[in-house]
Amino acid sequence: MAGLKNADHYAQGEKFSPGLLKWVLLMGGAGAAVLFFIIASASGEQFRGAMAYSWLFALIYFLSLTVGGIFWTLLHHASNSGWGIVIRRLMENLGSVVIVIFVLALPLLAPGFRDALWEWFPERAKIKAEAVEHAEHELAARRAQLTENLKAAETSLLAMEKENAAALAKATEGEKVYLNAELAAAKGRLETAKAALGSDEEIKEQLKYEHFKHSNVLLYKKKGYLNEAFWHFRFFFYGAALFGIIYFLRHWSIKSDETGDPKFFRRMRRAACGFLPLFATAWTFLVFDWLMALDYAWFSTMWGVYLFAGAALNSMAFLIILVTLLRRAGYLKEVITMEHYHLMGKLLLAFTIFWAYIAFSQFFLIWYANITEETKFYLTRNTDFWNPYSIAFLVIGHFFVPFTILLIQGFKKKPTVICAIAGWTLLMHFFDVYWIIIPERGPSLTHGESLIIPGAVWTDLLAWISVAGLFGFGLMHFLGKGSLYPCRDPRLDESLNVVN
Amino acid sequence: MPTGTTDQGVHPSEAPGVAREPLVLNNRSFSWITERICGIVENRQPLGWWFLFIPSAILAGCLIFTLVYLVSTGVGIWGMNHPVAWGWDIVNFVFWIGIGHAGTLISAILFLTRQKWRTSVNRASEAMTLFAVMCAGIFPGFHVGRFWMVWFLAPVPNSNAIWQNFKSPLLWDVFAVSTYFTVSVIFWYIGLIPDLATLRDRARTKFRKLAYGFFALGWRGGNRQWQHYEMAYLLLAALSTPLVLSVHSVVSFDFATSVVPGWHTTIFPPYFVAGAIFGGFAMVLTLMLPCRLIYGLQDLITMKHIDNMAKIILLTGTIVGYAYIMELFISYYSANKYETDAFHLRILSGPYTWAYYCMFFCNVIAPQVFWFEKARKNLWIVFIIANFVNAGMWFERFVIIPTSVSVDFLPGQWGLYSPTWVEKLMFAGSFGLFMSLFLIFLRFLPVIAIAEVKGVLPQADPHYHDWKKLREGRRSK
Repeated sequence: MAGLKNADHYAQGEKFSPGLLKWVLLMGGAGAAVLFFIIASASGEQFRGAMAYSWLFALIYFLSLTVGGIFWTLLHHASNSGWGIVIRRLMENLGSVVIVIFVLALPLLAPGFRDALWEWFPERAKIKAEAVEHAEHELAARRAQLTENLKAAETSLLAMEKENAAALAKATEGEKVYLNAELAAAKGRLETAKAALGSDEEIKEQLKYEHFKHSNVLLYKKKGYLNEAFWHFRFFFYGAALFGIIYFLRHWSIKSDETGDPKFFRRMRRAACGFLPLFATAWTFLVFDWLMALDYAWFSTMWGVYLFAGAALNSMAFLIILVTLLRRAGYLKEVITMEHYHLMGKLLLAFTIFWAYIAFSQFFLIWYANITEETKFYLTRNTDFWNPYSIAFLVIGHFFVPFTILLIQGFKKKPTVICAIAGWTLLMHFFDVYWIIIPERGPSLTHGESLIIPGAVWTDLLAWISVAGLFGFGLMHFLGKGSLYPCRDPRLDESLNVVN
Repeated sequence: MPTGTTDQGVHPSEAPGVAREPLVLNNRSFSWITERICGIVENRQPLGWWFLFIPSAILAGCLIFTLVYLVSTGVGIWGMNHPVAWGWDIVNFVFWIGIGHAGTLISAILFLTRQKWRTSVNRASEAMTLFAVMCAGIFPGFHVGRFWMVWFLAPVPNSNAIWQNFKSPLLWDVFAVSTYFTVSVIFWYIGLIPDLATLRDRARTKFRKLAYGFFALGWRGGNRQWQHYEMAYLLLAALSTPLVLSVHSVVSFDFATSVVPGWHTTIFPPYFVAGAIFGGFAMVLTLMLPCRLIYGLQDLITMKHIDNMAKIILLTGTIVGYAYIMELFISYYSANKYETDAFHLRILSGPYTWAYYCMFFCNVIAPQVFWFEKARKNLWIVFIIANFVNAGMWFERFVIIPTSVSVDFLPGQWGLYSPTWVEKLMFAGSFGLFMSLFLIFLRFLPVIAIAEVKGVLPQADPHYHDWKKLREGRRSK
């Protein structure tokens, strides 16, 4: 390479005009979504429930891509990197689409969808309704019992006082201590009995709790986390946190396009470090709430890391394809070189391994320890047709194929090859997200009668197309605003001339 | 042009916080670097070296004494009892193995990710890795009871009809650790070759020339040699990288494949790896901060290096904190009686609650001061926090290993554990061995990779003059 690229010559940036494509994607996506919701509203309860899973599947697929975009932006700043400045705007734009996904997630709040996905909602509602009835029904009997208890306590105390008065007179010091303690205990029992015999409302409240505990002890113990109010609060918290993070980072990044003031650079770095814990919290609990709670009895401490690994890997795959498409369309030709491809390819390889490491560790520890409440997740997925599915798509497709190919250095510098692998990875991500969500559907909706809901695979695809279209529209929208790369970023020199 | 006070009149690419800080300060030349680093090996050791070496060697002697006592008496002299069959010995094993992670992380993963700052600290931390793994190996080796039978762990043909249990993670651990050690030794040695040749060429006595010459394998620094060397180094880096992850993942399997609450949880592998890197970097700082002062290496191990390591400690400490919180959250969320009870005992009412809070404070709370640049720039604070982390990572293993089994499913066999003086002396002795080996390393081998540091000098960049021209062109405008 003769000479260096001078960032000052690239300060005008490149504008992207999405043209008609943006509107085609909008119309396509919105059209498919309208069709999807028409079918949903016209279907019976069970099929509508099945479609809720379709919608969640499509959302998680694209949400993970956008969240990966946020992650790469954060990582780039926090690790003080220079190589990817020319790609950073694409990361920011990809991350910003998270707002579109969150708007599309609003239907999950509708009871028809929500209750089909997360059984704990209807289960809790049912128990609560039963509890009210139970309390009404049991009130009189309980009151009678409590009154009787109170009477018994009173009688026993009176009897004891009488008896002890006689005994105390001739008791030794040691016996006195004992007798007084006995008396105090009886008084305590009387106080407890008095307290228990509260107003009707208090007794009912107590009856309701008891009923809840006896009907479903798991939900009873989890009520501090799995309850309607807190869940809804979290739903909006995730959206606000994730979009808030990328909104600010993109905002400052675009601002620095105008002036090139290094203060934005420093501000983004500082903010990104601070945002990382917020990002990790939001994403971890989002996947707990939306995915792990598809079966509220199941749990795994690795879950957040597993979903994070898939998100980071596949948004890198998506970025590789996006860069290539933009270059094919004549953009970024000068600024993005084969060196950047090589770097992105290496990250793709690293995260292919990381995903496999996390996925394997989670599976392996659950398989080896063989504890009933943990194995149920894999029992569904490792039996019947899901077993060959897991081996083909997750073990071979998701790991061995891209891993083997990406080891070869030359391939990472060839846009066509690396794009083919990135496309393959995105396809495997489709199967991964499908594998996470869909095996729950049949058993949940049919109460264990059937593994699948016939015909629902078509609504899965329809949902995916709808969200894909609207995701594409969102991406085009953000790409069309501002330069395609941070054209006055103070470290642009380093990224333009990167060699690795 | 920006109008900020500090940015006034400077091109944005050279503004504070943007421009890359130099990795070698004061424009040191190639020859200065050689002189300074080789000087450590060639000159008499400063008094500080002896002050550290003599007590270390005495402590190492104590280790040998306790081992002899152990072998001649039996493991009964340790404080282990029925529920707690893994005590300080396994705690110390995991502690030392964890420390042995930073070296290969720095030399392999940071090499693959092109982190040039690694060059000033990689040699010493790789040496530290090897010594830490040696210390680690002692504990399970003697824990088996009859040390002379330890070869039964190796799947070699024998006439005793012994067949190793390949289903057991403990056996995988033997393979994982020994593979890691072997590859780390080779990697370290390959990296040493050019520097050994430098020492050979500078040697003033015949013996030195012979000794360094023997290990330098006839290195002449020719073009072809460098080419092969670089390729070998890259391949070894790629080979070591999965090993960094696998060793501590397999160590975590020792516990996580069981059904013991507190041992079994799915996040263990990455959590252990993050913890190992965390503890390893803390030990690197503990060793290198005094080392750079004693030998005057401030221009090579700069504040930038320390800043980076402090940030890695902050990051990995926070990841470890994430894992602690996930464990606590899931112990609640699982609504599993045993899980909930185990963590209830850990944090609220158990006999070892104090250890949990020591761990949490040292590993999660204390490193948070590294959010502040002032703290990262104050060497006393960095040194103190690094030692908090050293202690915290030991406590972490203590919290996980003996406390989880001391109160388990059968109340009839609950029992507390406390170490005997032999275990305490062995642990102290392992520090003695570790320090002695490290000090001997300082005495005889170049503590900083001379050839590699030279490679990251600005004048070693093929585009050095282009960059200079670019910057000067801008300034003259």
